[in-house]
Formats: sequence, structure tokens, C-alpha cells
Amino acid sequence: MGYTVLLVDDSETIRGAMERTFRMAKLPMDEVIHAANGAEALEILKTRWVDIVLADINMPVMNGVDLVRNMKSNSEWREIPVAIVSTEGSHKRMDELGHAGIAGYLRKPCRPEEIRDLLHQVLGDWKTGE
Amino acid sequence: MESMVSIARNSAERILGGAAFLFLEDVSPEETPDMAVWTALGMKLSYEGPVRGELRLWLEEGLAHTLAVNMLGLEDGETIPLARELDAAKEILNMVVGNFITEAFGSEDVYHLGIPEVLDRSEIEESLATPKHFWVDIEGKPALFSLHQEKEFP
Repeated sequence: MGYTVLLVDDSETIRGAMERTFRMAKLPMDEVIHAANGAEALEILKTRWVDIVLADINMPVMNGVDLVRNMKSNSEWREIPVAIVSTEGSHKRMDELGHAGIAGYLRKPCRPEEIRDLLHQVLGDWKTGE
Repeated sequence: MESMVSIARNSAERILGGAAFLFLEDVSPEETPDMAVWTALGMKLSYEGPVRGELRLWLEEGLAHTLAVNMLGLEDGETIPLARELDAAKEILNMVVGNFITEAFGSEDVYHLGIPEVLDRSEIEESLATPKHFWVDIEGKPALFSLHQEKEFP
């Protein structure tokens, strides 16, 4: 059984490239759901359960920081792990997001093994798709 | 001290290799394209923190397609909507700027990135006018980067 991942990024190309990275890392995925910003992600979470959210920071409508804050202040979504995948490399930003409760932080572009390690660390009990 | 142009070039090389599996080669002044006939797609991305500026990128026609194909792992020659090609080029610029900021200014301060904007072809003169521009060759096609900052750096 694989995982259900919610990818939140305003770039369709990045979302496609991330899916490609999942395949390259041989990650067992049941479903990859796409959202173009934080607000779309919250709408999806109202009706869908996901194992993990991978979100960008810099997005229109609702950015990744506000998405994390919204999720962590909602009792139904609080336990869903959120990892940030961003171009930003500021320690201050990472600390801020760490305090907000993110489960991990990767910088774009991320390598297949980085994604695999992150999901393994966050979701545990990993089974490869091989 | 490494120059800003050198840092930007290294960031471009790192990102294009990591995200699109493409390699850069330097372009000598004699090999730069004839501006009278060069067809290119231009875009810019601003950043704001303790230093404010923007990086501009001009890609020869066809390079945005190559970026999208490589980033998505598609077959060469596969039809891709123009919007998707533009999105791929913007994301490359976004990643280059993110990497450049960390390499140039460190990782202590928070920098806010703007939204990538497409440039009018006439704006290429500004890119060529700044001494902080550099040409690279990507898959046999030239691309131009230019750095525009409010503070002077080497």
C-alpha cells in the first residue's frame, strides 16, 4: 500500500517534476493530488485525507507559511505532516516554519534520494516500490 | 572575493544541472548572437531583503521547450503548451535566484522573492548595458543573464 501525497505549488511544471522525482525514487504512491496554492490545498483537505503535504512557500492567494499555520490551528489537520519544498534557504525562515510545526524542509531542486529520505523520516516504516 | 556575476553563473549552472539535467558552457564575446535577429524569451524576478535587486534571463527561442522537456522527463519533440514552457523557464529563474541569494548574501536574512514577469524584447538593451551580464550556452543555444542590484558589489 502506498501513500497519498498533496503537492502544493503554483507551478504545474514543478508539480510534474516532483511526480517524476517520486517515480525516480521508486516511491510507492497511491495518489498524488495537486493544488496550486494554500487555499486550494485547504479546500482539498476538507474532503480528502492525505498522508503528507509537500508545499512551496512563495505562492499567490495563500502562501506556504499561512497554509502551515492554518493546518496547525485546525484540530482535524494538525496531525498531517507538512514539509516545505522551496527555493528559499534562509535559516530564519526555516526556524519560523520549524516553530510553526513543519516536519521537514527541502530546497528546490531536490534529488530523488532527498525526497525518499524525507518521506522515510516523516512517515516511517518505509516500503520501497521495487 | 567572488564576484556577483560569478556567483550568479554558478547558481545557474547548479540549478540547470539539478533541475533540468542541462550543462552550461561559457560563450566568448565573438560567439554572442546578433541582436538584430536574435529571437529570445525574456523574464525577470525581483528579490528584496537587506539587498534589493533582480535577475533577468533571456533564452533563445526553443530553450524554454528544452527546459520543460527535461524537467518533466518528456520525449524530445513532444508537443508542450506554450504556457507550460513559460512556466518551466520561470521556475528555473526562481530556483536560480533562490540559490544565488543564499550564495551571495548568506542564509541568515529572509529575502522575499517576487513573481517572475515576462520582459518585452526591447528591454534586452538594459540587460546588455549592465556590466553584470553574462552569456552561457545551453544545448548549443545562447542564454543571457543580467543582474540589476541597488547596491554596488564587485
